[in-house]
Amino acid sequence: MKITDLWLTHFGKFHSKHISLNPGMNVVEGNNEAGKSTIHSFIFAMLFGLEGSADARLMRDKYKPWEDKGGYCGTMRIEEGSRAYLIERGFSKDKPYVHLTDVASGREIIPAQSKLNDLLGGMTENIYLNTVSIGQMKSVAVDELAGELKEHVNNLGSAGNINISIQGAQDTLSEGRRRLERRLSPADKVNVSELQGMYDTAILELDRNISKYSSVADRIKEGRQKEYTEYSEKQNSHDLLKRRQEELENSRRQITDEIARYEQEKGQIVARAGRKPKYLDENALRAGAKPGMPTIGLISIIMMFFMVAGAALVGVLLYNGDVSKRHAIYAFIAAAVVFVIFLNIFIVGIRIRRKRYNFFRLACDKMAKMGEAKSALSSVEEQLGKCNADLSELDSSEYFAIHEQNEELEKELLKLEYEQQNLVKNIDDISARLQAAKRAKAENDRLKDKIAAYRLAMQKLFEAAEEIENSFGEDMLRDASVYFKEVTHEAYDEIIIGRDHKPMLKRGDRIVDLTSVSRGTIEQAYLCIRLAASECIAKVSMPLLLDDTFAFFDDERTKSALKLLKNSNHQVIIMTCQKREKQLIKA
Amino acid sequence: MKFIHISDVYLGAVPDADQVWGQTRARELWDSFIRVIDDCNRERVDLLLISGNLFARQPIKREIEELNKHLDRLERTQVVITAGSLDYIREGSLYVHNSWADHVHFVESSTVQCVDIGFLGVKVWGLSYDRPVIRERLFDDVVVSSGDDYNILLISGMDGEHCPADRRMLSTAGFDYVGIGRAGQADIREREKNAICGSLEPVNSDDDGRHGYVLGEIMDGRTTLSLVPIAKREYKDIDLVVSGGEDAADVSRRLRDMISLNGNNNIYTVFVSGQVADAGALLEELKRCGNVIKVTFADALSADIDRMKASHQGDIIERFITLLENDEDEHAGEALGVGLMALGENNTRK
Repeated sequence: MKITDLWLTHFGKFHSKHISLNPGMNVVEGNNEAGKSTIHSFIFAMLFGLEGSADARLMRDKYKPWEDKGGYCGTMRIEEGSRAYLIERGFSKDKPYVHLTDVASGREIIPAQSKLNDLLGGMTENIYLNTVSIGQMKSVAVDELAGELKEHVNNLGSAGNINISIQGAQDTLSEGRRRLERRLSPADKVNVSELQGMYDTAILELDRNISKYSSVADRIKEGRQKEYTEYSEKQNSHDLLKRRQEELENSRRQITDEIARYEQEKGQIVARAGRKPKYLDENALRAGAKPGMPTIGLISIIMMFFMVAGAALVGVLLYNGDVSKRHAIYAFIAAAVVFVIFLNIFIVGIRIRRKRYNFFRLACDKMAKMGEAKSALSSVEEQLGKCNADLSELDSSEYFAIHEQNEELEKELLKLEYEQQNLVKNIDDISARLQAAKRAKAENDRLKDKIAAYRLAMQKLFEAAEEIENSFGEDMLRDASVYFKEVTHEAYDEIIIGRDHKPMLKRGDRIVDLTSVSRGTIEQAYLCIRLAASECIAKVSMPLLLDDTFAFFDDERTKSALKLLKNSNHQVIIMTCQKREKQLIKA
Repeated sequence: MKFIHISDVYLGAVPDADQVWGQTRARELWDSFIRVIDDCNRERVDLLLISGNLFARQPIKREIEELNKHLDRLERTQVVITAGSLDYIREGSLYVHNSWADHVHFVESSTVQCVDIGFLGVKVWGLSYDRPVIRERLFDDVVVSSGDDYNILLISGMDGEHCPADRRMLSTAGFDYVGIGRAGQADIREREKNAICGSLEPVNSDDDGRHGYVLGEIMDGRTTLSLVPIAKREYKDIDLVVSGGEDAADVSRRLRDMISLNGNNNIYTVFVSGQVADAGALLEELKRCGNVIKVTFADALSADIDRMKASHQGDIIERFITLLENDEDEHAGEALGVGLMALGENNTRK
């Protein structure tokens, strides 16, 4: 394909600008800001339109006419073989259009874009930009230049695209994969099956507890029923016996106190009574013996009788005159005195006897009472003994055994109930861990899928890069080496790819690193690689567009490069701000 | 006759136990059940039907006591309870050992039995699970008895592993209401006189939508049904598209606003798409924005693959797409996305 004419009707700073082009070498010369890049972009726009890629759309905004003079459009005439075509395009965002007209017949070809694609040999914007549209290298310093060229070679060689860095893409994928791996939860956080096992076990433990709880509750119910039955019978007996025991205890205490009191009283009586009369004993007393007459009483009575008898005798004697009145009075007085004395003795004797008798009687009473009390005590103690025996028997009866058992079961029930709370808490804890583990595992599985996707992407990227390298990478380098040898006047033999995908220059047996050559040499290598790429990738012969490509070339290099381009059989359109290229071409 | 039907209340469970709101949710399950009791009194409901999984596991003594306490507050409502696949009747089950009040009828049988509430004129048919899985078709032969009484059938599960039965067949068996207990969302079919009441409260992030109880009325041969949503929270999804200029703080702020708009009480699953630089860091930030249970990041690239292939003919992108687009590896789709994204990031001319 060759471009013959450009009409920049309304494009960027140009309105109704016409440029005519030769089939061979063309130089579009102008100062900076003269519009060289605009023309370069115009050709792109005419071939591909400005509504496709993001770059194209950016270009559309960039080259919108500065002054609105009725449109945003242009026309280009191309020749392919013997046929000539007119491409007309409108670039406005609202109403873009493309018309393709066969110049010879004047017929419009519809659909225009489809035919245009055929004429382009299926060339895409991407291929165009990677091949026939050759700009400058961006870097300034030589070592940066070397790096940039390495990128270009690698990108072209393995990506088939000067702008895509395979290594960069691989690094991005690798970093992405590593980030995902860092987010993976460790094994102990995703141990779902282990935790599920623990959960199931915890549930079983709870089931066992509840089963036991119900069983114990049933036993308590039964036990309480039995206890109640026994209780009804036994409790009454127990209460009665208990009451009886209490009464008997009280009786015993009372009787014992009484006995002690009697003892004490008897002691007091005896102490007051003095010696016990010999003639008195308890039996006689019990038989109703009376105090009787004390001996001194009898004597006293006898003496009183004698006194009375004596007084009577004296009286007789006095009557008889046997005694003097004075003697009789003396005798009466003496008898009376003795009589009174013995009377007193008699009275006192009787009193003493009676007192002793009474004391003794009292003492005997006390002793009798004490005896009764002792006997009563004995009886009470016997009864108490029996009562206690009955109670003991009742204590060791089945009722208390059941009651004790029920009490123990109640304690066990409480314990089981308390255990239930702990088991439930355990279940909740495990459940929380299990839920967290399930979530973490699901996330891990998802991350692992993503990691697998990253690995697959890296693998396929590698394969794709190898395919490209194999398919045209080697061809491209071989062709580039041929061109490079020519433009450097055989200063170098070839461009090779060394270790670490670094392009190197070979001179005989010597391998030269790019960092040790001049910028101009690197730029020459760049040009040769682009030229080789355009030959390898592009399927039809396309015009080569060079935009300030020779800025860093000296005259000699420029001359060699122009010669190379001239011999390449491509139409060449050189944008430059230097007059040199034009002069050299003329020469 | 007015009735309320609930199931899968899961008392005793701790939903989202590993999250900060876990214990609160556990109490909220009880609160919702208490609300049902209150509504029975307020609405003067005749019958409360609980078809399975009132508890999430076997209930313990303390829980049965609390249940009794709440059931005792019912002023005029009769209650019929069946056990489900989670709280199925085991040896020593406190369901069986409990002294139920007179107005509470617990179905102990593991085959379909009838609870005849004569004074209400209603017969409730159902069974309680005695094991976690029942594959036998135990409901196929249930026959509605003749008479004037209303007939209600309760069934829990109704899937392959839990009392399989044909819903349509049951709805034509002559019951005035078929109450199906199953977790998840409610599904009411008033014309067919049956309903899946769903769980009273949602318990996990797959349980989205509204939850509550089925309120029904049977009168003159006609059954009306409606869902009364009482659940305290819902599980909801939020889509977040991250643009290139946003950092984690910006995205978090937007999420907080969206959560505030949709209800701070609800529990959210967040789907993030767009340009995410560091998914790990963003994940942590987003989880702090509220009740966020899960954050999922969308696949790397959703682009027009054909267009990309066409516009990159001959270069690595075209080759890469070709290698993966027909690859049978299960990760091929995602590998294509992440690979194209990586190539895009390393394309100095985009």
